[in-house]
This record gives sequence, structure tokens and C-alpha cells, in this order.
Amino acid sequence: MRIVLLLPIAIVIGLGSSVAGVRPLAAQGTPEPPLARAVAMLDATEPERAIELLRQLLLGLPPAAPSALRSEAHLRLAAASWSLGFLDSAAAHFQAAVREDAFLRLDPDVYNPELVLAFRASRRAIVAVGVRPPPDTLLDTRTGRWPVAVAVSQPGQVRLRLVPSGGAGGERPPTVLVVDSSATVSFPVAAADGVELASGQYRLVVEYAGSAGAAARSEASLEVAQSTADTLVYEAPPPDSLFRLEFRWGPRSRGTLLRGVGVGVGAAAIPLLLGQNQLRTSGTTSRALLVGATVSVAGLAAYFFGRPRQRLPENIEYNRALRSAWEERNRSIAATNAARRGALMLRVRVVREP
Amino acid sequence: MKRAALYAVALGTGLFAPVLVRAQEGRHIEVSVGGIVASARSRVFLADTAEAIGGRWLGGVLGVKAGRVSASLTGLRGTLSPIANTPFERDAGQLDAAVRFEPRNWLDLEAKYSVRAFRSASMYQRWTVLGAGVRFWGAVVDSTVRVYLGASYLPSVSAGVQASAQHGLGAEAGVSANLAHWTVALSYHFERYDFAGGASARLEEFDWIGLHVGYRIPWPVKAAP
Repeated sequence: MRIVLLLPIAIVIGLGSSVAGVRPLAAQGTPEPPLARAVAMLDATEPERAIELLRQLLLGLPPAAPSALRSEAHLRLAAASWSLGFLDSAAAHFQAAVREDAFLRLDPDVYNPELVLAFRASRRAIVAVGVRPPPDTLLDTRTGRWPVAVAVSQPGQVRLRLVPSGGAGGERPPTVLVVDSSATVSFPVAAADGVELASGQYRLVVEYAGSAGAAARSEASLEVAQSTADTLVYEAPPPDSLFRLEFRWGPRSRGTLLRGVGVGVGAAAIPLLLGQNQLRTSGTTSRALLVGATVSVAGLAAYFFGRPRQRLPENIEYNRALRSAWEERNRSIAATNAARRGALMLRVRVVREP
Repeated sequence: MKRAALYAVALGTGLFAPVLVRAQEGRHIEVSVGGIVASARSRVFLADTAEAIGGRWLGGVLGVKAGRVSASLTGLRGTLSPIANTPFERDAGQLDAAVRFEPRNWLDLEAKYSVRAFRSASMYQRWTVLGAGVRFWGAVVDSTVRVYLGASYLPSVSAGVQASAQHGLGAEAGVSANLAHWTVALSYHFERYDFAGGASARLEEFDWIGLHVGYRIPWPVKAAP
């Protein structure tokens, strides 16, 4: 009777939503029509047809199918089974979903609380471990630490080892820790004796022993290679719109007029002042007058048509500070880049299983 | 007198050399080239007769400026035709080497060495002049259009005419416009020489008015580390 009452709630609230910890369908690259159809049927309160479709989907999935897809299909199937009252079947599919993805969690704000309780009970009943290393990381060879997320289905001891592929030597001492539900382990890239991790293929082996003594294991293949750090891009100069005007047009200046006319008169007077009477000719005087007149006209024109520029020291200082700050930032970038070019880095990438 | 003047110029250059070197340190270098069209006149008063010749000169100038220090080499050449009391046409040419120091933007100091030559069918004259001058600048349109007035003392004059001149005096004035990399200038130069010699005393004047068009070439300099 109680299950019957919960059915509509479970269908409406839980089944149509995306599952926490599982990538949504749209993010899986290629859409999965059977799973999408099953979700649509669950949304349309047709759990029986959805169950049938999900079972067919799971049977038809190839072994290389993504574990996230398999986990979501099991979870949907479990929720649909639970809504129809098939509790054992639901528990089995919950456990299968957790085995595929130990990081799987149900959000209590999204799912029916009783469904969440059932999921947690099923999760605790099995021993499953999952590991999620970062897909592609660049680390300092001396000080870098490599973060790895680990999830377990029940509290227990987890042992992480980095093993060279192909059975070669150089295995690092394992890292052992007790995990309640999930944890992030930071592996130092350099060993305690200062020996750096050599380039090559590795396997990250995670061994887990549950409270009842049962064990589980998970692995990820890694490629480690020496690399150089990316350099930073230099900052573009500040746009013109940020600069302020450095001068303004001032009023007419009598000084300009005096300078122009004064020098003009001086030029015209040169032969008179410096020349000798015996050699004075009209030609000499007229040439000096020509230059004097030209200079005077320049002064007059400047007075009437030209206005002096007045400097605006505050704006000049502001612009100078703007340029200095930009130059300082680029100097800092240059120093950072120089340091990065000198530092040896390790690139750790997760690769597909050989 | 001449030797003393030479020593004075050499000593002055030596004393000022460190100042000049410091003044141009860290500054960008600017090279300029230009052409000059000039009208020159030479007048001589000798034995109560004033001779005058004049004509058009063409020339060029090559300059280098580093900070407040600049140097230039100017060459002019042309034919001066008779104007008064002489039948002789003369080919004439002049080469000036000058170094300038600009302690303020309104003042520059100049040391100049000039060689001037006149040649006709019957004679050849070579002048060597060493001088020092001062030039005052004034801006009339910001720094775009500037006018100047200058004077120079020519303590060492050697001419192939007779005993050397006792001294020479010079003056100049002009206006220059700086438009982007271009400079256009109109200038007037006047020089006067007094030759001692009692009855054979000789006076000479030389002046030229010139239009100068120059182009400034920015010279790339590596930034200091």
C-alpha cells in the first residue's frame, strides 16, 4: 500500500531527472537512443515499457561501452523496478550501478527519500571502489602533487600504487589510507628520496578491503612524459580609450608674436649691425629683409591662427602610470615565463587500457 | 693669435667632451639628410673698390643627432657671377663640419670648421675658418615652427689672399618647420672678415640665404637591458 502511494512521487520526482554523479546524456558525445527512449517512457509514467527497454539495452551493450552509460542504465532500471515494487531487483541494479561507478550518489533533494535510503543500503551491501585521476595534468617534477579521487562503497582501507607497465622496476611505495566514502589523495611526483618519476607508461592500482574483509580493485593506465610548462601570453597595451588627453588648446600667446617679430627684426638688422658701410648694397639688405619678413609672418600667423598647446600634467601622469603598470605586468610575465622555461615539468595523462 | 684660438677650441672640446657624451647616453639616435638651395653673395673691399659676385648654390646636409648632441656635414657648390667691379666668374664651394650641444631647448652652442674655395681662370682662393657660436631658439607654434637668431665668433680665419684675417664675425637667423619626419627651413647667414694690412687692408663679406628641406630617419637603438 505504501509503495503504491510512493509510485507517482518516485516517477515524477526521480526518474525524469539526471542522476547525480552520472554525466547527462547530452554530454556523452553521441546520444543513446534506447536510454533516451527509456527516460522518456519513465517521464510518461510507463515504467513497464521502460524496464523492458533498459534490460534490452544492458544486454546489448558491448563490453567496451562506457561505464558511465552502463551505470546510468542500471540506475534507471533500479529506480523503475523500485517504483513497481520489485525491491530485490532494484537492489541488484543499484549495486550494479555502484560497481560500474563507485562515485555514484543520489541527491536527496531530487530523489524520493525512501529511494535514496534503498540506494544507500544497496551500496553498503557490496564492496566497490572507483578511482578518478585527472585526465591531463602538468606538474613540477620536484614539488608537484598529483590529485587522485577515490570512492568506496563502504568504509575501508584503500591502497594506491603506481606500477610501471610491462613489469619494469621502479614501483613506488604504496599510499595507504582509510576512506569512509570518498577522498582525494595527493601523490608527490618526486619520491621521498628525491628521485623523480621517470617517463613511461604506468598503472594506477587501487586495492580496497571492505569492513567485512571483501576486496575490490580498480585501475587506470597513465602515461608520464617530461614536458615544459606553458608560457604566459603578454598583455596587450591598454586601449586608447583608457588614456586621457595630455594637452588642451590654450589662448593666444603674445610671447609667440613677440618671438616671431623679434627674430624677424633681428634677421633684417643683421647686415646693418654687422656689415661694413663700404660694402653695403641694397641687395644684401633686401635678402635679410626677406628672411626677416618671413620669420615675422610666421610669428604673426602663429599668433592669429595657431593656439599654443597647454600640457595637462595630471593627465600626463595618469597616462604614464597606466603605461608603467602595463609594462610592469609584462615584466612580471616575462620573469614568470623565464622561470617556467627553466623548470622541468611532468605531464601525466590518463590513457586507454592497452 | 691663430694658434691660441686653435688651442682654445681644442681645450674647450676636451673639457666639454664628457658632458656631451653624458648628454646623449640612452637617447635615441636620429639621422637626417637634406638638400639646400641657396643664393650666395661675396663682397670684397680692396683699394677703394668694392667687388661683388653672386649666384645660386646647391648642396646637401647630413646630420646625426643623439640626445642633446648633434653633428652635421654640409656641402654647397655653385658658380658666382660678377655683379660689380669684376669681370671674373668664379666656381665656389664650401664644406662645413659642425658639432652642436643643446643644453636647453631654446639654446644651442656650436663649434664649426669650414673650408671655402673660389676658383676662376686666373686665381684660386681657399678659406679655412674655425668658429664657435650660440643660437637662440623660440617656438612660435609649439615645437612645430621655431625661429632662431644666432651669432658666432670666428677666431681663426685662414685665407689664401694675403696675411690672415684678424678675426671674423657671423650672424644668422631663420625659421624652421618640423612636419612629422620632414623639416623645412629658411635661413640667412652673414659673415664679415677684417684683414689687417695698412694700405692693403681688405674687407670681405659673405652671405647666403638658403632653403633647406630635410628628412629625419629614426635610427633603431637597442633598449638598455
